[in-house]
Amino acid sequence: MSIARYHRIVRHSRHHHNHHWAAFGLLVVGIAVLSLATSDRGLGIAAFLGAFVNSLITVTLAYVICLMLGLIIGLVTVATPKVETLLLPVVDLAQSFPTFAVLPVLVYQFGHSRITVVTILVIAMIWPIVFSVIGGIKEQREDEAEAATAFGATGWRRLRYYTWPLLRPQIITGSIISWGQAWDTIVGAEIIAGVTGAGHYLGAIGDRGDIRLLALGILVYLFLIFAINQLFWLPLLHRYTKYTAES
Amino acid sequence: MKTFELQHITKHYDDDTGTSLILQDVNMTVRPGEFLCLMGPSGCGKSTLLRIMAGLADATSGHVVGRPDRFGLVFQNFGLMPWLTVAENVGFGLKMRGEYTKAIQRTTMRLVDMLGLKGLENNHPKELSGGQKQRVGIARALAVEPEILFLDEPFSALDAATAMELRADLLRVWETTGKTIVMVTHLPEEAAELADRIVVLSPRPGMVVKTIHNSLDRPRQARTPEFYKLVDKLEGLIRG
Repeated sequence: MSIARYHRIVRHSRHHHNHHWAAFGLLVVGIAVLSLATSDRGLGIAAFLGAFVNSLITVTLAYVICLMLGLIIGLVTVATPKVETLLLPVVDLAQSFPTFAVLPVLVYQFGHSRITVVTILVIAMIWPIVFSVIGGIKEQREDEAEAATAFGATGWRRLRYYTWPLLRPQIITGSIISWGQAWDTIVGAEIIAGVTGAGHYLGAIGDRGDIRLLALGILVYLFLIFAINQLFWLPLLHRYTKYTAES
Repeated sequence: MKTFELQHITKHYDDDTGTSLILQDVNMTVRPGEFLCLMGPSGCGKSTLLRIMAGLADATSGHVVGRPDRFGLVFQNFGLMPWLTVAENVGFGLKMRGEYTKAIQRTTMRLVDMLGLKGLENNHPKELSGGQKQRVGIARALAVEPEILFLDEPFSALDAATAMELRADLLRVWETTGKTIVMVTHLPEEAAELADRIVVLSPRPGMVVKTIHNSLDRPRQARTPEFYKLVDKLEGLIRG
């Protein structure tokens, strides 16, 4: 799904002010039902939640790295038309690079460690952020940019008081997509790298051949991802897109 | 502010289709405290010339002598930061200058009051009418205590009644503060009502066709034969 399309969908749905609370309620009920349903099957909801927190910390760490690198790469890419002509094809090529192709190299280099998983996540997560920065800069209104320049926004102050607030909605949208990629990638990465987390946990259930339990585990996993989107990302997006339409 | 001068300003743009000459050998002066209007047909380079005056665009050749250090700029489409409140937008230039919060607040409140924006300090641009947005734009430009105020067709995005109201406000600001004002407009009536001097540019490439001294008494009456005569003269010059 493109960033623009996701943005439209989210903006359309943001008028439902109470849907975050509804999502929270659904999450609580969902986990209660699933923990009852899985208690006699051996999923161990508490252990699974612990594993999920491990994965969450890993994804967060990778995200922080992506945010910093993504901002730098995005801003450098569109710094001047000449640099853009040179760098944009390189960035475009880099984003289509198959993430898991480098996993054997990473395992060889860093072993079966969290560094391997974080690195693979960075490779998977960074591109939506880079392209949201590039898109945000290219779509900026000329008069706003010129006003910032005319009123002395240069250097660090420009970044802090103009560029960052300007890009914030786009970066949040890019981040939502980026986290989506992360939840997808981390399952495989944890299983292959043998690092504890939700993916590794699900892999272990799969190895036992209990398909019904695996299905329940995946359901809990999806519930938790859904909850993070509803309770964190969408309110954040709503907060920062509220006033960003036509001035 | 001292008199500042544009000497032999020429500007051309290079793009994929070749070179476009925008301004050619423009010479003019801006005198302290005057209200100067730049007029000309659409696309003649008025806004480009204004940006060269402000130092936001470079001339391909020629010199700007004695450009004031501090200027305020008012935009046709307001150029307000949508994520900032009215008060934050007004204080934006001061914040960029690193002024203390209290000093910013003092200046902001004074200008909010002066421009009739009281009660809207915490609103965002999206919640304002066109006229209110442009008042914020003017307040933001005045907040930096400019030596000169540049306005780029500031009333063209507004309805006729609001534009008339804002013209009166701008005149009041000019008379109260004594700032030098350079305004781009394409409306002869606007120039006749506001300006001390009117510089008329030719169609692209923009060259100074004539500089008119507007000697109509202030406050100006828009329905007098002298006013209509000046408007007709300006229209004639623009049409060539």
